[in-house]
Amino acid sequence: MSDLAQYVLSGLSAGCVFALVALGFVVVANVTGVYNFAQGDYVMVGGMIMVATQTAGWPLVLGVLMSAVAVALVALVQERTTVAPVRRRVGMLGLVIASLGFGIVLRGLALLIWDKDPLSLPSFHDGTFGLFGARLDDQTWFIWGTTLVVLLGVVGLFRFTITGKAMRACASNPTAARLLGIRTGRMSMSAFVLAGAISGTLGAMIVPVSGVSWDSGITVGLVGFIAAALAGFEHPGRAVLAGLGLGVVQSVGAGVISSEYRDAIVYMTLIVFLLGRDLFDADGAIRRVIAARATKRTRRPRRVVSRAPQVAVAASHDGPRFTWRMGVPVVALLLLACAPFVLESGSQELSSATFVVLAAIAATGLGLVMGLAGQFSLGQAAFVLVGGYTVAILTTKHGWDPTAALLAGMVLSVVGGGLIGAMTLRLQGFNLAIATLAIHLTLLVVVSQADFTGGALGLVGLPTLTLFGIDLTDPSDFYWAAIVVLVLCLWLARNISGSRIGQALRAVGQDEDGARSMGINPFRLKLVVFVVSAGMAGLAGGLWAYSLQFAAPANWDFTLTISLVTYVIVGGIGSVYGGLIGAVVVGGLEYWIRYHATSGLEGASLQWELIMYGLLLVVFVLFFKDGLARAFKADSLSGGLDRLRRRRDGAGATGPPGGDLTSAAGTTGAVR
Amino acid sequence: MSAADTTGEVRTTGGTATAGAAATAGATAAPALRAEGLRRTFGAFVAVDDVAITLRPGRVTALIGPNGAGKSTVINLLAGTLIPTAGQVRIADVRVEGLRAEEVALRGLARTFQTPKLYEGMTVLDMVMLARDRFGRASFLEIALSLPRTRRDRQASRAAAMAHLERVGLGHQADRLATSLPVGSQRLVDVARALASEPDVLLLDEPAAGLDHTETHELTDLIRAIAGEGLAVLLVEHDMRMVMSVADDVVVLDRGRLLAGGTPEEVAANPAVIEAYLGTVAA
Repeated sequence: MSDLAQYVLSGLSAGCVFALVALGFVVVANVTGVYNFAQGDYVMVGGMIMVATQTAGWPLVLGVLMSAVAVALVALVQERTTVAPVRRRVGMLGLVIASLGFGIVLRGLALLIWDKDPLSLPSFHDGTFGLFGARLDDQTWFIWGTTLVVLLGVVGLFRFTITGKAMRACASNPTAARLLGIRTGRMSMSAFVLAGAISGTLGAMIVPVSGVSWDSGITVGLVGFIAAALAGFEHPGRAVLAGLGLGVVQSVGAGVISSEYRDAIVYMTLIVFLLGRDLFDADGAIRRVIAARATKRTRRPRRVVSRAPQVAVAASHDGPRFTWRMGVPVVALLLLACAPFVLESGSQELSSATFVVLAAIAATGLGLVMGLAGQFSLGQAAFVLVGGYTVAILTTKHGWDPTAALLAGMVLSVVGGGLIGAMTLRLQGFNLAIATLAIHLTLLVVVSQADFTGGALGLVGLPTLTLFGIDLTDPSDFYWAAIVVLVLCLWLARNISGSRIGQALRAVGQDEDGARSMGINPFRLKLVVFVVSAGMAGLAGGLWAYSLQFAAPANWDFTLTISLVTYVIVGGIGSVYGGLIGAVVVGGLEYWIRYHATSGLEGASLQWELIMYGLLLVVFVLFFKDGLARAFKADSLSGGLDRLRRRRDGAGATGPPGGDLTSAAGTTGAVR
Repeated sequence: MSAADTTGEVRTTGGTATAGAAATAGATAAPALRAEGLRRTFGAFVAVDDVAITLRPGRVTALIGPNGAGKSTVINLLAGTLIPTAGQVRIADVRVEGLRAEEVALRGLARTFQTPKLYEGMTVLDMVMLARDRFGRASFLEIALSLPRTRRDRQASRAAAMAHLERVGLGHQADRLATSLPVGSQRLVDVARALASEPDVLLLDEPAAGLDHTETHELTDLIRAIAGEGLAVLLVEHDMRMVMSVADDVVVLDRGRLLAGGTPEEVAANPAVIEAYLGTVAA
């Protein structure tokens, strides 16, 4: 009993951290509509500054105050540089990437200033106290107190003050808010400052308990995001509750079940919760019960035969018509295929180029999910991991044929994708993002703990790939094989995007009720696309494992997901080639930074790598709002007036009026 | 005249039932859609209470009532966009209440929206082709691999969509972006889209709003022609002149309950209706 109390109460403290980070997410999202992924790193910066003030001998209160103020300033800088200049011009996902970039810069700066060793402080007040048979550090009071005060403050602000209501109005309708005389810019600044101050204080409070290091904000931020997402980024109270719940589950799970798997336990609980919420969601439950009753009596008469007399179809040119614009990806791919002629076989450059191509495969799949299905997935790397580990396990431990192992990895990813999709794609919002993220984090815990995956060191000694009897030992040959796979994936993606499935999904993305009223089943289509995407990721992962000849957790961790999401957004959501373009440009720069740009700088280069990569993300989002794919398109280069006219008149302006229908209908889907 | 063989058959619990019938052909045909005891609450607010509507093939039933009477809620309940709190909806004698909107649509119901649904970046033809989605024969694999059947599907879909556009008089606009059309034409696109799914039951939500005099006339003719082909049509409309000229039966809704029902003439003469609704509009 006292054990359980111990777990629950210490879990509550960890939960307070998640809760306040979630609260920061909610505050910023409520006012600005931005999902600020730098939130976790705010906590880290707060902790660092607290340590610095205490090392300098400042009084405790002043130290906490300083942390709050400093992080509030950091948040203000973020708002002014990455949010305010692009408000209403960059979509939600672009802002997410910018905030991820800002967080990475913060991490790099922290590494630069405070080095990589974890820092800590003694408790603010020495001693312990007992509660329900549990013994807790006195610091616990500070953490609980802070959480309670902040929660009451935020709820009070939003619910009872005019300022709070004005702040919320900014997110729900910025234009209307401005018409009412609310200064949206100032409100957005206040929200960031408030979130920063909360996280700064929190960071200062938890240093004595958990210490602080440059990367300690990552997990805190992710779990905080999950808690906020569970509350729909809307209800401060629910976000705090979710955060506390996650903390308690983690702590109890660690104590009662297994401490190695404590994170996995949290994520699995989360998935069960999501599943339950879908089943028992008020509307969902009613619908299901009634539908079950109704369908019992009926088959599903899916009438597929049109009773209209078959109209003779003129043998017209059908499908996308060739324009020189369609040559752009072809030329780009040909150039890409020439890399082995320029780069030395077996060189670092060629293997970097290979990874770019593999990432492009996974990103092409993710592009379908984000662009067509309109779903935000934060777990594409999970499927890459499944593909990679399947290949590694089957070849090293069971002596499978390399080709068979590669296909098995893909099949497993497809099955996994189908299960996750079936669980989460029915509901709107962030369920897919949370579920895929949770699955990925669980898998990472499992593979770094379990024996059959070789633990943290991973599995080594993979054979080289022989694909359908073709030996791909030579890195150049392997590279070309990867290019062929990429081309196949792009072709599939293009077919899907230009088909009735693509059109139907675009309709769903714009107005789901309207699409449903035409008999379009959004769930089915989204599931199909998600499964295809998972398959592509699994294939990329398998190839990745062969290319590296080992499988380790660090190959396919959360950073890969961030990279893939970035490629898609920077390359251009809604374009089939977005993932490819993003991977080549951003991924190329990423590897260039890692192996060249930072090599001349003194000491460990990781901090510079982080700072430059973070800035890269911010810059790309700020300057290529619609993605590079659009920037490359011919029509964005032509005169503004011309473009305006074409947009107004639609595709009809390009052909004889009312004449050739096919070109318009065929191309709208395919080349966008 | 018994209530059983009327169309636009109306019942309310309050005993204010008024039933009327027009002895035209189709009045006794099996109902294409029958709703009984429909009720929907939003929290404590009762939006629709004990509404019964029967739509028969070949007949146009108008649903009228003052703003806030619950007309749109009724359409949403029939179409599966909302789930009824109580009551039944049958399409061709199969219970459909509680099914998702797309499942109801696949059972032969099509609807238009008060605000036409338009899709950014799609041409008029593209939009109508969306409604032909269900007739695609190609499997997902065939689509992904772009096998011949995909192309045949697309050509058939395009031809059919074009035919429906011609029918509403928008054939020459097929290549325009739907968002660039005037509101009146957008409504017609919505009608073409609904027709393109080849429904048995068609729900039109204020199709004449934003149309000028000539266009309204054309729409009236179109609706009559559609009904003439054997579709059951429900028309929600504010334009009383149009309702009177096109409807076989009229159902009046007031504050979520049925107020009256019958032929247009009967309803127009009903004092309760005049008081609740017509009195403020009609001369």
